Amino acid sequence: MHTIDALYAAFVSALPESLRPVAEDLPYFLRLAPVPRQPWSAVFSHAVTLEAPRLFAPGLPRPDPELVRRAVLAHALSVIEAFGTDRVLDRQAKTTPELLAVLEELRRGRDAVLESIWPGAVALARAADRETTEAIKEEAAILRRLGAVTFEEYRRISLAKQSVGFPATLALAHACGANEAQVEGTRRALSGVWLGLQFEDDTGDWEDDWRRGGGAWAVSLARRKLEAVKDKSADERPTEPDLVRRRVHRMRILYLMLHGARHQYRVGFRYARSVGATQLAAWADERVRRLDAVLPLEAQHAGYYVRARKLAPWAAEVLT
Amino acid sequence: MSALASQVQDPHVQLRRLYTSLLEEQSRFDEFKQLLALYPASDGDEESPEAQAVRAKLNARIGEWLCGHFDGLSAAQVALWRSIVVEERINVALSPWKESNLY
Repeated sequence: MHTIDALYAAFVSALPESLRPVAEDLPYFLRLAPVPRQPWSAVFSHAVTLEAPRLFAPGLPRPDPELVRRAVLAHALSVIEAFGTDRVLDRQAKTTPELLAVLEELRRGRDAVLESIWPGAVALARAADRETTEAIKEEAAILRRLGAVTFEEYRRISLAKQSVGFPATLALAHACGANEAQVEGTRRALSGVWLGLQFEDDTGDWEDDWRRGGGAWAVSLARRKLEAVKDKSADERPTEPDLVRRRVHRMRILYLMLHGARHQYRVGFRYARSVGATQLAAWADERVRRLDAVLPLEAQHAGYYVRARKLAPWAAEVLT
Repeated sequence: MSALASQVQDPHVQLRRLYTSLLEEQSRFDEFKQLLALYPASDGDEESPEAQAVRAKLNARIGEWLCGHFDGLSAAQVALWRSIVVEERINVALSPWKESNLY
């Protein structure tokens, strides 16, 4: 069994029996997996999402395998809980008392593990919870009213949304003897990675987000850019999908979002390398190279990246 | 047969050219999806006249996009493609950070 699945299975086995069915099949209940019985290792394609602390361990002064194991568990519980809360808040998952109870258990489990890694980690995690929740609410409010945003605002809110992705790794760094510069390098490496993933995801999914009715970053960024260029007042919300898409394409918003993702992966690469997280650095570097290949295509054929994401399952079936 | 002619007739090369064509042009992508959506979901019986008409139109449009170098899709192929592209039944991407890898 994959490490992350074994850790999660142990967490589930300690839950009250009434919560286990939901907890065992959480990827499916949160609509992160299309079919039941999918393990967490199958949901995300790279270890960075659920096992980030492990990727930083080789560069730490005194890495302790047991502390690394605990940090990975705490990180995974944090991220899973954050996905769950996000899905509940934007109503993508059916909210039931059992699901809410499992999310509470995830928080409780995370705190118990963090407490055993480094003093102060629990306070860090709870502050991160608040920051993430506030950012999700701010994002929803802006996107729902089709607010115009700058890329800087987009970056700030996106980073706040990722707050829960930091405490376990930072706690591990402190506990394993990292100095302030190493801790800061770790923080910046994580920032680059999380923002790169978030920007890429927001680019690929903007049409689906828009169709769900809650707004989309690409549209709000397009509005801001349009206003900045033409100095005109906000117009009414366009309802015709092609009109919105044409605007987003014409303003090169998707290209700029992907360019932002590339920059963030580059930041992630530099800082991951500086703190000795070589596996993570190689992954971030590979993301940079892939975007280097995609960016000219997106520049030339606006919407290329979205279409590629939508056709990916078909291409995998008929072209390989 | 020249190497070029042989390449043009290679079904895999034709599919790759179709893929590139769809990626490069939003209107083609939209029309491709719309025509697949119009194709009736298979119930295991013979292809209906309505389904044949949709498939013929899809084949004709792809032929135009690829400047005539397209052999045409069978009923089974269109049904499979519909299930993947329209119904998203196979190999659906999994998560917000799903990191699709095919460009």
